[in-house]
Amino acid sequence: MKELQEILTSSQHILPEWILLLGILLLVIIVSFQKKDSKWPYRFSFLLVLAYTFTATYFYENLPSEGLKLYGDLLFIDQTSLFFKQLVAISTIVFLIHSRLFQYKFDGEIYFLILCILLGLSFLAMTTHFLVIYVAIELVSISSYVLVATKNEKTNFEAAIKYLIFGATSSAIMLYGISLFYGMGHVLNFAEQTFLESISTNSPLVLQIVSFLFLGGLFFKIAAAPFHSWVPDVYEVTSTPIISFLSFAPKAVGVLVVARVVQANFTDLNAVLLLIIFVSLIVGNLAALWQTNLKRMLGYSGIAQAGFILIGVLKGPQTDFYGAFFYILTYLPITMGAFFLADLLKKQSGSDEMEDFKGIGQKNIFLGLNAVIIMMALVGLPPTIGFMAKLMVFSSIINLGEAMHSSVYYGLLIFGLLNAAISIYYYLKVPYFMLIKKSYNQPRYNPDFFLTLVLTYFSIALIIFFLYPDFGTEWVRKVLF
Amino acid sequence: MQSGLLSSLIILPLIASMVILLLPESYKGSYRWIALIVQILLLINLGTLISGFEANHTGYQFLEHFEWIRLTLGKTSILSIDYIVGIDGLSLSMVALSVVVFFIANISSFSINKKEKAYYSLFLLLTATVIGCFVAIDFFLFFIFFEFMLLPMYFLIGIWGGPNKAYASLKFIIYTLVGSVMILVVMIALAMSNVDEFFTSEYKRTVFSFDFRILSDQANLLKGSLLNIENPIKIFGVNARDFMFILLFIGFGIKLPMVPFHTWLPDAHVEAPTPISVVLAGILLKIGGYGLIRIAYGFFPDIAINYGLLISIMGLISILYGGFNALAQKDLKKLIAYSSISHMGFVLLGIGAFNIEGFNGAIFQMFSHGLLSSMLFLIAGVLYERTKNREINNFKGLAKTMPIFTVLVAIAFFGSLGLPSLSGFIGEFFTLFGSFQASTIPKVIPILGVLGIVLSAIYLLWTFQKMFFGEFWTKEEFKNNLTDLDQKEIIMLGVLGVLTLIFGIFPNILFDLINPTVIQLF
Repeated sequence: MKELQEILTSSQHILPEWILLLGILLLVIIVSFQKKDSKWPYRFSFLLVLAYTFTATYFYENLPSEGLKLYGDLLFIDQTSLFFKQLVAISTIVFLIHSRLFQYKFDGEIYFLILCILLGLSFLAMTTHFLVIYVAIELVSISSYVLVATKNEKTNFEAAIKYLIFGATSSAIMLYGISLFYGMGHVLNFAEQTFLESISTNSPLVLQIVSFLFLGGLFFKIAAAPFHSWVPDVYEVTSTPIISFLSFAPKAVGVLVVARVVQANFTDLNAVLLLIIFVSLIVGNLAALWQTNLKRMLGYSGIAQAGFILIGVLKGPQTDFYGAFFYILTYLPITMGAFFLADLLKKQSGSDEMEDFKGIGQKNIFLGLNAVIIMMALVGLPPTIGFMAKLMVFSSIINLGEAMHSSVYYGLLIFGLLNAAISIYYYLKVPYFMLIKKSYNQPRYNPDFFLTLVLTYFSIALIIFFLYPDFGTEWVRKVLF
Repeated sequence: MQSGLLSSLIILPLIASMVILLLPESYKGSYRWIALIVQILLLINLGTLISGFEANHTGYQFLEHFEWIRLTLGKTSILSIDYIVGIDGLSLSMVALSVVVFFIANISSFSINKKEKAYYSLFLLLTATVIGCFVAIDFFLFFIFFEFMLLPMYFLIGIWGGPNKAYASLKFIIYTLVGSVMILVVMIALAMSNVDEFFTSEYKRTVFSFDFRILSDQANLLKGSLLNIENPIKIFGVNARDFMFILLFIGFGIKLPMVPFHTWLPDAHVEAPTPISVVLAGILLKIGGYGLIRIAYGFFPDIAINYGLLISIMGLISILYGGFNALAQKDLKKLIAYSSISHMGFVLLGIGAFNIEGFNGAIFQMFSHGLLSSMLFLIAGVLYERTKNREINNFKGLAKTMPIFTVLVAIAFFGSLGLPSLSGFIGEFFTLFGSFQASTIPKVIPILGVLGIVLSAIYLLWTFQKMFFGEFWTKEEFKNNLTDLDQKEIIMLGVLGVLTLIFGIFPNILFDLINPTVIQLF
C-alpha cells in the first residue's frame, strides 16, 4: 500500500511529462485521422509544447531547494533539471517556428518524433538512476535515427544507418558500463550514498575505465570526439530545422548528466574528461577547416563546441558547473541562429556549399551583417554573448589551475584559446563568401526580408545578452547544484 | 566631473557608422562627407581635450565611469566590468595621433569608389574601436575594442584590397587573433587575481575587477591567487607572473610587429588599399607598443625588469632584419612595410631599456612613426593611383615632372632615416640613448641598433635617388598619368610633413605631455 501511495504522490509531481505523454498519444490519433498535408499536427504540437513549457516553469514554485525524489529514487527534480527542461522546450519551440517560417511540409510523424525526443530528454534531465538514463537515452536515440531517415533519399539512409550503428554500439558500451557499475555498487542510482560506499573499494583506474564506458553513450549524444563520427553525415543530410534542434537539445541534457556524474564524485573523472576535451577540440577544429559544406562545417564545429562546454564540467574543489551551464544557455541562440542562417542561405543560393553563397551578402547587406554576428558568436568574439560564454569557461579553468596546482589546466587554457583562434578561419568563410567574393552567375535573388528580420532577432539577442548578461547569469546562478 | 568628451570620441563615429549603414543607396555621394564631418568633429574634440589636459597632473584625467556588468561567477564571486575611459599623457598622445591619421586617411579614402556605404561604415567603426582602445581604462573594455578592431580591418583589406587580398586578410586576422588570445589569457588571470576591496565589502562576495587602476596596484593581489607575488605558482615550471608577461610580450609583439611574428604585415600592407595601409601603419601598430607599456610593464613591473635584455635583443633583431629586408625590396610599398618593422624595433629597444629616456623615446618613436609611415604609405598610394604600379625600377627622374611631390617625399624619407630637425631623429635618438644608459643591457646592442639608422639611410636614399633623380623615364603607358599632386594630396602630405617638422624642432610639445606618465611608471 505504501508503495502505491508513493507512486500516486510522485505521479502528481511530473505533470508536464503527463501532459506531454498524453499529448503525444493524442497527436498519433490526430495524425492518423487527418489528411497528409493537414496543418493540425503542427498546430497541436505547438500548443502542446507551449503547455509543457508553461507547466515546467510554473508548476514547481514550491520545489524544495535540495530537490525532490520521486518513485523511490528513479526520478529526481531540482532547479537544474527544470532549467534544462525549459531550455529543451524553448529549443523545440524554435524548431517549430523555424520549420513553419521556411514552410517545411513535415509529415505529422516528424512532430511525433520530436516530441518523443523532448519527452526522453525531459526524463533524462530528472534522473541519476542508471536505468532511467538508459531508457531515456534510447528513447531519444531511436527517435533521432528515424528522424534522420524520414527524408526519402539515399544519402539519408546512409547517414541514418551510420547513426544507428554508432548509436547502437555506444548504447551497448554504455550498458556494459552500467552493468559493471551495478556489479560493483549493488544499486543503480549513482547519487546514493550506498553506491558510493560500495564502489569506493575498487581501484581508481578501474572506476575511470568503467566511467568512460558509461559516459560513452552520453558523449555520443553530446557529439564529443571520439564518439563523433556520425555527426558530419547526419548534419549534412537532415532537414535543417531538425538538425538545428538535434544540435542543441540532446547536447544540453547530455552535459547535464555528465555534470551529475562528476558531481556524484565517485572517482576522479578529470583525466577522462580532459582526454575527451582535447580530442574533441582538435578533431572538431581541424576537420572543420577543410569543409566546404556549411552544414557539415557546423557539424564539426558542434564537436569543437562540445569540447568547450565540457571544460566547464571539470571537477575542482569549488566546481559548480557555472561555466558549462552558462555556455549551454548561450549555445541555444547561437547554434539555432546559425542553422537558421544556413537555411536562409540555402533558400537564396539553392545549396549548402559555401562557394555558392558568393555575393549574397553584397545584395542583402543585413543578411551579411547577421552572418558576421552569428559567426562571431560561434568563434567567441566580442561583442557577442559567445565571448562571455568562453570567458566563463576559461576563467573556470584558471580557478581550477589555482586550486589543483597542476599545469595541465593552463595547458588546456592555452590550447583551448588557440583552438578558438584557429576556428575563426572556418567560421569566417561564410561571411567571406557572402561579402567579399563576387558572384559570377547572378544568384537567384529574392530578398526574404521577413526571414532576414527574424534572423536579426537572433543576432540582436546575441549582442544584447553580451551588453546585459545579468539576466542569463542570474538565471544560471539560481540553478546550480 | 564626467564630461563625456572621451566617450564622444567613440560614440560619434559609431553613430555615424550606423547612419551610413541605414542611409539608402541614393545618398551615395554623401557618405564620404558624413565621415569627413565626423573626423573634423573628432579633431575639434581633440583640441578641447588637449587644451583641458593638465600635463603636470599624474593619473588619469577626463575620467568617465559607469557600472556595466556584474558577472556572477558561481556562488561566491563577481566579475565587475565597468565602462571606464580616461586619458593620461601616453594615451593622449596616441589618441591625438589616431585622430589626425584617421582624418588624413579619410581624405585619402575619397579615391575609393566601390561599395562606399560598406567602406565608410567600416572605416568609422574602425575609428571608434581604435580610439576606444586607447582611452579604455578597464581591461575588459580595452580587450573588446582590441578584438573588435579585427573585423572591420579584415573586411577593409578583404574587400577593397589588391589581387591577393583573401590570403592577406586571413593571415592578418589569424595572426592578430592568436595574439589577442594570449592577451585574453592574461586578462582572465589578472582579473581572477585582483580584488576590488571596496566592492568586496559592499557586496559581501569576492569582487574581481578589470580596472587598470586596480590591476596596476599590487596591493590588490589576492593571497594564494595565480599571480600573487609571495608564493609564485608554477606553470610548466615557469613562474605564473613570468609566464603571463611572456604571453603579453608575444601577444602585443605580434601586433607591433616584432620579428619573428611579423610576416602578416608586408602581406597586409601590399594588399590593403592606401588609406587602410595608412591606418594600419600609422595607428594599429602603435596599439602593440601601447599595450606593452600600459599593460605588460604597467601590471608586471617586477617581471619586466628581468626581461629588458630579451626585449632589447628582439628589438635589435627587428631593426636589423627589417632593414636588411627593406634593402632587397623592389616594390615600394613592401619596402615601406619592412622599414616599418625596422622602425618599430626602436620602440622595443626603448622599452627594453626600462628607463625614463628609453620610455620617452619609445613613445616619441611611436608617435613620429605614426606620422612618417602614414606619409610614406600615402606616397606609395600617390604613385599607385596614377600608374597602378609600385615597382621602384619603373620610375626615374620623377623630380622633373612632380616637383611638389618630390619635396614632400624628401621630408618623409629624411624624416624616416633620422635627419635631425625632423621627428624621426628624436625618437631614434632617445631610444638609443636610453639603451646606452641602461645598466642591464650590453652596449653592443645599441651600437648595432645605430646600424639600423645607417641601413634605413641606405635603402631610403637609394630609392630616392633611383626614383626621383636623373633623366625622367618611365614606361610609356604611365607617362601621361604622372602629373604632380592635386590639392587633396598636398593637404594630406603637407599636414603630416608640417607636423613632422614641428615635432622634430619642438619635441618638448610631446615630451611635456608624456613625461609625467612615464615618471609615474618608475
